[in-house]
Amino acid sequence: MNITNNTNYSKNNKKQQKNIKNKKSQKNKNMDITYTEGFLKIATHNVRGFNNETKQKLFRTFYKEHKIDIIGITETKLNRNNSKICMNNIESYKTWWESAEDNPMGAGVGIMVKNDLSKYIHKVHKNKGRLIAIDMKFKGHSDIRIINVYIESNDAKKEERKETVKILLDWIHQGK
Amino acid sequence: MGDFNADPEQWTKEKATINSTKYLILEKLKNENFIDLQKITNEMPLKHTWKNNNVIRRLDQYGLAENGQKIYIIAK
Repeated sequence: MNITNNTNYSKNNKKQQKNIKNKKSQKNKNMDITYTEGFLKIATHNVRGFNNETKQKLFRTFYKEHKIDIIGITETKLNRNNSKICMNNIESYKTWWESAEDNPMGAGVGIMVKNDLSKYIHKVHKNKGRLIAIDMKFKGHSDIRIINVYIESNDAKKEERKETVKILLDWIHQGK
Repeated sequence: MGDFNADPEQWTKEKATINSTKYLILEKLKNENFIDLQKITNEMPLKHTWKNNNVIRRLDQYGLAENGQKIYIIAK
């Protein structure tokens, strides 16, 4: 009886340990969902101005905590000089920015890509502070083009809006 | 993806009456068979992404090309 009990205990114990191990492994898996496991976490974020360093710091923490692989940022309102230094001290991400030379306050887009992923980028496209895109090549998979766009909100800028959509479509057709 | 500055739900309501380039991007993406990811992966009503006084709009969106449909995506 005791032996049986012990055997059962031992069996149950092993089973319990296996369950705990599986749960731990599942927990770790859930916490670390990234491109390495076949997932890409992509986000778009309208920042309504990205000149403020405190704002940049808050977002830096947010992106890191949520383990986002690729972030498209819109309405940065950064001028060319500021975009050179924007988020440049962010560890684990590589960044690209595009500003409008004539009116940086009404435009600005960017893309942030995790360092480990950035090696798959073979081309970055930019246009007039409204469009930014990355072309990614993964071994054994189709190429991916990710486009981040900030369309003109002002109805007075109809022609500019048309032009942005036209370029967007050109980029879509190139990527197909 | 990005700020399209055009709400798809509003477009549905206004498209018969409005003559503007406001919804041009949505029209073109529809013609290209792009998929509105929020729409297919979330329950209705969809959450807004922009708010001004009492007006709420879904201006920031994700579109997926039809040849990218093999990718499983959750858009929140």
